[in-house]
Amino acid sequence: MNTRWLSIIACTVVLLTLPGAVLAEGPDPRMIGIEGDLQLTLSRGDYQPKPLDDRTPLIVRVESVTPASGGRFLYDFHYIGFEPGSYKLADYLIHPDGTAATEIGEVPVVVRSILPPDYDGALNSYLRRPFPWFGGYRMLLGGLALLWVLGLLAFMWFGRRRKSAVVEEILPPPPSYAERMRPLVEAAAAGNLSATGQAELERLMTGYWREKLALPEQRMADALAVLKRHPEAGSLLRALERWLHRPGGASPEEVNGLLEPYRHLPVAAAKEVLA
Amino acid sequence: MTDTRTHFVQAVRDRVGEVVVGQDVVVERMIIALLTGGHLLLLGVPGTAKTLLVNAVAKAVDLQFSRVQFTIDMLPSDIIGSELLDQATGKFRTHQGPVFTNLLLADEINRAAPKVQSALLEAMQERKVTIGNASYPLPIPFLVIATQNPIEQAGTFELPEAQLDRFMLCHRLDYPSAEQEEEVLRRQLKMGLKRVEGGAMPKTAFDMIGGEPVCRLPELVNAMELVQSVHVSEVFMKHCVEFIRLTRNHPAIELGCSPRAGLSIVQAARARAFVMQRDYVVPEDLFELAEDVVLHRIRLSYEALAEGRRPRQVLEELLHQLG
Repeated sequence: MNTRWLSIIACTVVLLTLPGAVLAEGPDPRMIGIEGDLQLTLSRGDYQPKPLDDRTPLIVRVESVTPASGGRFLYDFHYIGFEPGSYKLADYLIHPDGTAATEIGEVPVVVRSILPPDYDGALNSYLRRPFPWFGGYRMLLGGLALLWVLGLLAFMWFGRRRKSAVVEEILPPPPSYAERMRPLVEAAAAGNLSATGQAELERLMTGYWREKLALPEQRMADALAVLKRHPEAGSLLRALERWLHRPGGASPEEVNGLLEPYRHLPVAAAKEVLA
Repeated sequence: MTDTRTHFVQAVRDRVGEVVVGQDVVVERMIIALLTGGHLLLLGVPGTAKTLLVNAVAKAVDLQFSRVQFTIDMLPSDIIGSELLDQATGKFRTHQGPVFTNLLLADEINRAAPKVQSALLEAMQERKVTIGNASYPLPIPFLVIATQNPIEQAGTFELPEAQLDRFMLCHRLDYPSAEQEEEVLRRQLKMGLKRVEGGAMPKTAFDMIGGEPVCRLPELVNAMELVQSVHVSEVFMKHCVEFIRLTRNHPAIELGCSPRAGLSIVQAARARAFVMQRDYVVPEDLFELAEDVVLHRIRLSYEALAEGRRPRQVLEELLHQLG
């Protein structure tokens, strides 16, 4: 039990003292041109950066100096390297009187090269690579196109007109002119056709003759003029006008005589005309 | 009765026929407008004798006649009149505009701004005009015959539906036939020169309009009275109402006819029956007048227009449903 606790305490002490050891060995290596930081506790508080020329491989800057415990001083250094290699921090610091700060000891500052160590300085030749068929922009466009097509197909499938039962069922043929005229003719013959019925009868008779003489596409006013020139239709329409529009109208005998041909109009014949 | 009818219609037709070749239907529509006091809108491309026809009819019947050429810079006061300060008396006096007449020819009515067109509304509907604070009745009979060019639409103002509805009839003039055009040329060759104060210029058809009217106002009034006695059957009224209602229920029509259209059909049919020497109206009158009464009163829906349908086609569909 005691041995176990001693081991844990020993490990903790090692871990806590590890940063001081790392600092003594210097900061993590940085690439050329990349700024690095370095914190160091030194016995003196008056170290200054050494004046350098423009060919120096390393620049060191003192960011701050703060008093630390035990009469020591905590330095924050910033550095940036221009050539790969391992440099000693003491070579880049001086005392206020200009003498070298050799008492700092071996605190290495490592600057690594971006290029591999065996690089001979030759330029890389440009290799044209084909655009990948899959992935990237083409994949995105292909995916969108597929989505659009699938959406369209789904829209067409779900939006298709369903055959309704109403369409499938066979509708009865519309009543022919003869069928529609017959009750009106009977009512007129009986003398109890209203003005609305008379108007309907006149329209149906005009329509009947217009269909019979194949004038459906003609302008209505022109068709009526043609009908009035027709021997049979013309006499009927003029008689209708006299009956329905002329003051005094027509006698029941005249009305019966006028409507007699239409009381027994064959339905089939009228349907053929309509067809 | 028949003598009056025959004389009035034939005299006007003959007088107009001396000046204008063909256009019998237009002359008939103008006589209908005269007999009913309804306003008439003539649509036609330039050179189809619209203005000449109105001039000829106005001079054939002894009516006061004014002609106003509508322009974009016209003001309502140019039509109805205005109050003027009389410097001699120091008081305002009323200057009555050209609307104070029996027959007003509003030439190219769609060239005037809407406020001028609206100024005609009161005159056309109520037969009176308000100038300042006073209303003045217009002479009786009063009717407006307006012309409009359907082709050239730049710088024009389309007549609104409310104003179009005030026109009892809107007739579309066609070009004359080849034979009629030849006759126009022959007549022009025979016209000769007009000499005025030592100068001269070739005569036009306007110079050929006879000076003496062939009918006087009492004859017109007598004819109007006969028109009012033309019999309109119950059945004919059923046809009219059915027709007007069809225009309101047709799927291709966005705006159907107002009840005023039904009134116009009945009035115009009465006058047409008079012109055709009948004592009663027949469905033929409705079919013949339908285009002129209805076409300017309906507006097709956007969908129907997009399908390429035309108002005349839709109207024929309605008439075919009717007969």
